[in-house]
Amino acid sequence: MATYNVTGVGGTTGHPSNGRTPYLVENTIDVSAINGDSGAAQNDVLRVMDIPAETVIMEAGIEVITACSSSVTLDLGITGGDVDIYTDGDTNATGYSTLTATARHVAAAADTLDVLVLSAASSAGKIRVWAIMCDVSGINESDQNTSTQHDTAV
Amino acid sequence: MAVHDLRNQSSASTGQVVVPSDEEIRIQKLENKVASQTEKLDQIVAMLNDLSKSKPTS
Repeated sequence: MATYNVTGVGGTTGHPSNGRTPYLVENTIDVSAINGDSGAAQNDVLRVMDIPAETVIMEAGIEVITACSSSVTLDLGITGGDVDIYTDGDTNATGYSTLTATARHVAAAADTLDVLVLSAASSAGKIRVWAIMCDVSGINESDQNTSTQHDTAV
Repeated sequence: MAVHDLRNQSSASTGQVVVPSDEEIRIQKLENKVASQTEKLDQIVAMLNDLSKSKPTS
């Protein structure tokens, strides 16, 4: 086992305090007004947020403002991927959902963040979905290191 | 199972909103103030031009 120093010049000097920053996105949903005021059926998907390409969702969750119908549980995640990566079976009590410990999602291509209505239909409820996102696309994706750096173990 | 697209503002959703930071709000207010001052300065310049036309210096 060898260690190669390919961190490039500069070390940690100049790490900016005002560089690209995470940002908060939110969307408040009136579940009772969905589908012509009839509400969401069991297993319905609520597409709530766009995720730009090459973006990490550092954290996301649901704040239940008004409880949904009895027995309803809520997932928050990526349809077609990990549907409950951020919230798994929230019991729909008012307040913030419990955050999961699963590794966070990086959207290589543009995608959406979705709520999954589970366990029962819901003709009531108001939820605020929030997410902290950060653009992780590269600004320099060419290797600038020298052959010496590649070939000399430190 | 149905998919409801609630990303845009509708009767059932506020629509997705990027919440600005305090710093962004401060900059936006500053930009609005500068824009307002620019408008006022343009008006003053236009008035001065009109005045100089109506009262030419001898």
